[in-house]
Amino acid sequence: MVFSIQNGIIETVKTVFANGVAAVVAINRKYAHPKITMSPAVKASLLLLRLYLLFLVVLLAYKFYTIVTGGSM
Amino acid sequence: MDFLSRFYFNYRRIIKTIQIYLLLAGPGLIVMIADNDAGGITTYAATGAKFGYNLIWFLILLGPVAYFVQEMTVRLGAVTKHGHAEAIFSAFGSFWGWFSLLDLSLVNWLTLVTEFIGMTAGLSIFGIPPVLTVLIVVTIMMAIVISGRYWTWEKITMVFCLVNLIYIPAAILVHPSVPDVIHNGLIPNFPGGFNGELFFFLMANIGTTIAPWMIFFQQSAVVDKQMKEKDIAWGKFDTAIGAVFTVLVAVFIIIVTGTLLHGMDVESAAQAAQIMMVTHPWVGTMLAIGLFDAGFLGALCIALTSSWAFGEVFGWAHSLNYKVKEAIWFYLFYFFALVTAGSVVLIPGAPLVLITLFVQVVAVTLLPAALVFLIILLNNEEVMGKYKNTLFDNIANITIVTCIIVVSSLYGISTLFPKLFG
Repeated sequence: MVFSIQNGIIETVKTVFANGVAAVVAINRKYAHPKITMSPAVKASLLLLRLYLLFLVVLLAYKFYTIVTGGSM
Repeated sequence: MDFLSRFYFNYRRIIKTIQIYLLLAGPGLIVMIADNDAGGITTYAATGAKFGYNLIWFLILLGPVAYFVQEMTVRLGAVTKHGHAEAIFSAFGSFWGWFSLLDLSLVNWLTLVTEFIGMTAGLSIFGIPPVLTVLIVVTIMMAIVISGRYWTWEKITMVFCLVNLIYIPAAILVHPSVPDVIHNGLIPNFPGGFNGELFFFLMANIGTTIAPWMIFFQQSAVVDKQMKEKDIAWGKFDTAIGAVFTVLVAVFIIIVTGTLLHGMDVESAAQAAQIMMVTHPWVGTMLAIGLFDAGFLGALCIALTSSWAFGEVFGWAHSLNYKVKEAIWFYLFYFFALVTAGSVVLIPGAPLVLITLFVQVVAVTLLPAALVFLIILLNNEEVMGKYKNTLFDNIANITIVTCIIVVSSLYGISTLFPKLFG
């Protein structure tokens, strides 16, 4: 039996990748709907979290910009 | 005779209580002592060197803060029988689930690198090359987990927790002035006034007290230990004892560096140990051993945290009660995290300082989310039943969580923009 890159490595990588994608899809389907009751307080908390993360992303982008342009703060 | 029988009865009762505690002790004690990881030891050493005993009172205040956050994970784990990653997926859906899982794995891996930096720096003081340190550490860490019993892992880890107390004899050896420790350390004060530098140190100490991995770790450990609702009181007691130890260790490190290095700018615990090796070899040796042990404990817990989290979400067998062949992905993930993080330290010219700073920034993106999810879940009657937060719990927890979010965010931002606070 002759070892070939096509069968030996590429196919294995393909299989692993396909299995990984299938697992992620299955997880997304399983947890598609939040089980917790979305009361106004929970909704407000999650909205604040999103805004907070957005703020951090903007800060990181700004830091990246200052590094690229050679500025400092 | 009556006195003797009562004495014997009480003696037996105390022994029984201790036996029960020793059976149920573990997650709280381990997470709290591992909280004093390599980064934590460096923060305390630098704080003591910079401000002497003056910030001991502040560290004592951080004990209850850590307790209140971590005890929530005991209740959540014991009631839901799910780790924190799985609980987030289930309660808040896949968006927040993936965000938490991927952010956790990134921040954990970066923190793992810092633990290896601490371990290699600690042992290099004794002339042990980093490559040997990494090899030995990874081998020991694999050996600890492959027993196939959570109980074995837990008890071995608790031996390493005992080594973390090495700072107590070290502090006794430096003969600190007890009146000075009490006067300067226990009365709240801000040495040199409240300025940008002091604020940075306060933020760093808070940042090292609560880390995202701790929340995920303790909840998963409670589940893996198969603790039930009836064990919650013991779990909380275990966490409280752990909080006492974490503060004790921090205070004794401050006493060591506050006595011997007061007024110096120390950049790392390894640097402090190296300086002490010249003047106080025994103390320097203890500091170096303590630094290695801290990194080891941190790495052990952090690598497991990621494995547990991925196992929960992907549905792999994810318990230390499984043999390697029964939970191959769980152990492979653990091994992979250790090997890759250990390898980074061995790369010549690797940006280790940048990684250390980056940990703070990435942690800030996850910690608020993990804490908010914790509070929401603990307030949900469908999830928690009679173990949901009381009004007192909510007042304490929401206040603490708000303060942690604000301060850790400022710490992360000050890492990005060092000149922001002067």
